Amino acid sequence: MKYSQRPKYERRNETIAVLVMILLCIPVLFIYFSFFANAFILDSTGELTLQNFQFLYQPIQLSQYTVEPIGKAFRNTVIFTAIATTLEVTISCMAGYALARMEFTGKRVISFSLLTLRLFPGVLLLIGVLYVLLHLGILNTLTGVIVVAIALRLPGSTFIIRNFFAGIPQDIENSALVDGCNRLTAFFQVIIHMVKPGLASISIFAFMSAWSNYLLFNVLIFNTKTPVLATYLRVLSRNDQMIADYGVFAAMAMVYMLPVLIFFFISQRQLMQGTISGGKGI
Amino acid sequence: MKQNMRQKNMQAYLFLSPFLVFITVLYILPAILTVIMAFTSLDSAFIWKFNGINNFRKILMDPNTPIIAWNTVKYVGITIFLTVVLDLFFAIMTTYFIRDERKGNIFKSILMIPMITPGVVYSVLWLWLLEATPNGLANKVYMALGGSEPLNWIAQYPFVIIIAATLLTSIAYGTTVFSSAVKSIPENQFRAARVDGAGEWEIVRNIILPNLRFHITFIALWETLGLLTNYVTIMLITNGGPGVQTEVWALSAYHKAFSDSQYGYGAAISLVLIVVVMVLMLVIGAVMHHQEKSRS
Amino acid sequence: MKKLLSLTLAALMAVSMLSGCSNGSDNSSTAQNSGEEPTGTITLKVAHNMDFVTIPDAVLAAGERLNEKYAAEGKDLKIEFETDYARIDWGEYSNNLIFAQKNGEGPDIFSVSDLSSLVEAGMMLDISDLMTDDFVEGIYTPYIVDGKAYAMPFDLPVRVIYYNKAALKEIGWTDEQIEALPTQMANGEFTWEQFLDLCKEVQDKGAATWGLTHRPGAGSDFLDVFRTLGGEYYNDEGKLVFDSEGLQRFFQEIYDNANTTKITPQNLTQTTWDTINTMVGDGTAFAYYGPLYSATYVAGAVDKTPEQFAEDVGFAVFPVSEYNDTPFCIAAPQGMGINATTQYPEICKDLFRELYSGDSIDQLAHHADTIFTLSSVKAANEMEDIKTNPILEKVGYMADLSVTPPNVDGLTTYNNELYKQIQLLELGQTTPEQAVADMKTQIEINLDADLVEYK
Repeated sequence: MKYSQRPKYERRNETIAVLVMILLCIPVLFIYFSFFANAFILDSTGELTLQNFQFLYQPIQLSQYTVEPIGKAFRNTVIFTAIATTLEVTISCMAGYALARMEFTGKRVISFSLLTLRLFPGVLLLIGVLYVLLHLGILNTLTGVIVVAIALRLPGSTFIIRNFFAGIPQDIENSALVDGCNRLTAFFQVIIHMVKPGLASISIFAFMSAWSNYLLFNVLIFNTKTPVLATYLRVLSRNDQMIADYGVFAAMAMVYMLPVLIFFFISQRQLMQGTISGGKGI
Repeated sequence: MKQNMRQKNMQAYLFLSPFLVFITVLYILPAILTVIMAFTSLDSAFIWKFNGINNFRKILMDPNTPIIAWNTVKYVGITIFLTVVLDLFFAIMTTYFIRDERKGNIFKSILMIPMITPGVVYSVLWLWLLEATPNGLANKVYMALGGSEPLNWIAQYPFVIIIAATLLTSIAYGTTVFSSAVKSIPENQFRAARVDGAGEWEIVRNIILPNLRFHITFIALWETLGLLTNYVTIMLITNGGPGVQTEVWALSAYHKAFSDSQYGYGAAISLVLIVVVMVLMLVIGAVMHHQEKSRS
Repeated sequence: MKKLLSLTLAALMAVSMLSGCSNGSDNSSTAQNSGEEPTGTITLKVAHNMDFVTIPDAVLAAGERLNEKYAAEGKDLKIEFETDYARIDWGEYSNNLIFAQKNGEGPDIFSVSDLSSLVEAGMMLDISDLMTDDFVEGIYTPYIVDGKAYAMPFDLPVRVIYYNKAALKEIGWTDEQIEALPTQMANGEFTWEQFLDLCKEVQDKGAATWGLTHRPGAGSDFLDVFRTLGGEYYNDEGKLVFDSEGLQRFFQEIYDNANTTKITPQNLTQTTWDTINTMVGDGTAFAYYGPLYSATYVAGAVDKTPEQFAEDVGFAVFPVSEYNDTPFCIAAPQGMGINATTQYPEICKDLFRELYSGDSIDQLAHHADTIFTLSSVKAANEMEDIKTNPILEKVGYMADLSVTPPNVDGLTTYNNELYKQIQLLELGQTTPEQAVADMKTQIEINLDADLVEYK
């Protein structure tokens, strides 16, 4: 129905609602804008500057502390996010497919544990996880964090994608199978295309949570040689000691958040759909 | 036939194997370890020494335990209540009242910004906002409104602040879920109500809310699980302080294990929470089961 | 079936890719028996925490000198370093060391904190043979566990009282009086009670916004005031003491300072280092107690040079009080230890020897000069760097009044619990009596009974 054709009270309500929402959103936006505006202001004099961005290409001196340029942390974050996302999506797709479309012994048990695990907050097991990683010899490495990051999100992603697979009409798969494809070709050539929205939504959530993850690095990495953006920023903003002034921190935060924001604007629609189907970052 | 089943099994488990490996190594194994650790005095020297139920006795003896437990109940309870109320409010606003999907989505996107802000940035944003000096944004506003002295917000209202900070990040999820539920209510239900002369408030109360009953229960329970166990926001903003004023159960397990290196004690505290979570999961399971039944 | 195979292969590849991105750090040559003379290039891992990187840098510089010596002697040996300088909570840092050790990647040489757990974890090499006359007397005390020395002190930082000279001038003190204050505090003529009154007076007369300030986090600084009030936290055997009476007095004072006389801001514990440094630097706060080396931060926070800063701020030891009749200042050195499992214990020791008795003493002097502290090594204290430091030249006498407490097991927990009560007391959310009782319960719960003496 076109706007002009809708009843008058509906249009009036909509106008009021829009005004109320604008009023409510303004403070949030204002806070974000003023915070990030710091990035372009020199702390000591208050003039406009790009000086706060020096950490992009050279070491900077903050009080007694020399801060390495952000490059390495950025690279590590990209590697971490890319591997964690790819593997998480691949593994959950394989498992989700099997659980939705295949018949096998133990299916009920595994399906039930998936339901349970999806609700179970894995972070509570971190103390035990630490010990396992220690014995696998991957504590204190990026590999260790990747593995844990994947594991923590795996039940949730598998659950979502399983539901997408379950939603594909059996006929389509059957006809693919009849056409001479075996299970795998059918999987890669036909089925996977049918769950693209599901793939998109789990990828987005995997990306977002990997990119922002701080807790796992805090607990599982003990050296300064494997910085990621989260720990790079955190070191400069500890509770009792804010080393970076807000100008430099806002500049760093901007660099950190930019990929998330870009991704967010591209993927907004799927993000909302994904949210509905039950995904949520840790 | 048997041959066939075996092949089917092989195929399926091939697909499942990476998943199963991850689950075994990083859920089942750690879970077993956590249970065992809870009965040891494992500390920074990493020597396994069983000490019976000593850790649990410590939990009971610690005068902070009731405070932390009460904090947790307060934190989760208040946040859940407000989250659900605000979720409903925003969902109805952006979906029912704002019929134009494009406009509604813009607002929903704005609500998502805090959710997608990485924790380390989000916490500093709050610290910056609430800076205790007259230069802090909150203090500037406060003093412009007639406040005489700049306030140290985080010291004075730590609990309010962690709830507010958590709330802002948790709104987006429920709002999106509720909003799609509102959208799926058939338009003619509203029409019929209006023909009967119902006002907007009555429509919300008599049509929208009943339709969202299950969603509300689900979100409330789901968010409870999340809030019980996710302590990163609190850790980064107040770290449980001042004193133990904002310490919640999960955070205290983290503190005991990773700050005081009392891993055994930390595991025991975690274990208590795990039991609570399990009970809650049973409730959720029952609710979802009930929901499916009443739908079909 | 071919497809299956390729899939498995792909999975395998993914796994190998994963392990490829681990930061496998230990690529040094295979294990060497300690008896055998190492040759070739060896890599030593050096770990440090917090700002004062002049400490590990001194080790690195000593390495350079040793390399030159080896080259001159025609010895086939070259030391290289891999550094890991963290900037985290000391407790976390110690945990990290132990985990790294368990993971087989413990550093060879590292800054030490919470010595007891490191010793218990078996990662400290006994370096008692390095405890020589070259060091200032008694400086090894904090690093001795069961009669063995486990770390070498690199400096001799003392914890003192800072006070703002301009504020005293403003309330009518003459320059002579101002300059005489430290001496009076050091010889018992000016008491702690008088000093607190002075803080109040300065504040009341508007010469400073706040009278007395302190650090914003848990730490040993508070123990100095506790000691001034006659409080005891370790006994002759170096065992932790829970002194209820002393704590009661200390807590009462903390409470009164924030809530009765109001010379300390109530929410000081909620602020950041930077705020406090600025307050002390620009005179908003009249007095402060903490390590002398904080002066580098304070001066930095208000963009002053050490010279300018020494003009504006005076330093004094903790004076006598009704409960304590010896003026004192606590020396708390920062030290580095050697890994008990290092492949090159002798080379690590040689590095240390090079620092305290070789040509690299100047490195220790440089470190001390940088952070405004005296050195742990006698010869370094005679060097130009230290002699001409504008702040150090005025505090030389403090070395004679300094006390070096032993390594006390459980002190970290004690300090953390103490700080929690300080927070609540200052915010007016608990009473001194309650604070003593609560802290006692926490100590009883968190520390084994045989670690603590209650009195």
